[in-house]
Amino acid sequence: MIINFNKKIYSLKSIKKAIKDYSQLANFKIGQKKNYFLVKITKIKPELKDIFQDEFSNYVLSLHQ
Amino acid sequence: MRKNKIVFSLDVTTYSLQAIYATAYSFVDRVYVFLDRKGKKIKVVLESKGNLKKKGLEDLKKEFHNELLNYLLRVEIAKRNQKIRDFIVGTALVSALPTELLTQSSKPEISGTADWQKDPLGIAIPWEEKYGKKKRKTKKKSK
Repeated sequence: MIINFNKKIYSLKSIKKAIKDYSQLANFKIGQKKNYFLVKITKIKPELKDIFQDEFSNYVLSLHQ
Repeated sequence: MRKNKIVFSLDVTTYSLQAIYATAYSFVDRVYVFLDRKGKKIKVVLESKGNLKKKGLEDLKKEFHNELLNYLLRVEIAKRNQKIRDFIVGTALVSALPTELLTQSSKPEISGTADWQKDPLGIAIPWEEKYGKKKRKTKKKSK
């Protein structure tokens, strides 16, 4: 699963912090392509698979506060 | 509008990013919020955590817009009152300091004046008093 975070909205600092906080629940890789930070998520805990992407995005957004 | 999801866009020139962040934050307990940007438009995706019908999603969008206006005003007022707020907080912090700390900071000045009055280096003595007599002696010698 890959999430595209727009660079003009999401900061790399908050993405990294979110990855650090969620690191126990899945494996992450960060990349970038033009205006986006790409976060590749693998080995998600099976019980969280359905909500993981949305919850992670929400958490990244909440770190901007 | 897809199942449980509503998508709309906001103009960055009308709504500040700070206000959008704050509004999104107030919604994260009820919906999944995802933002994207294309030019001057910010695409907002709200996906409900529970099951919502079309009407419910429309209401959510309206509520988001209302909250956005609320935060826009808050941000604007915060900007306008920043100086006075900083001043009030600064004054409150200083007045909350223990009186001992405040008096300690003024002690060196008092001791400084005391040292000056004592004049341990003898620099407060006028030139005439210090060297005036010597000159007279040299005059006598020359005669």
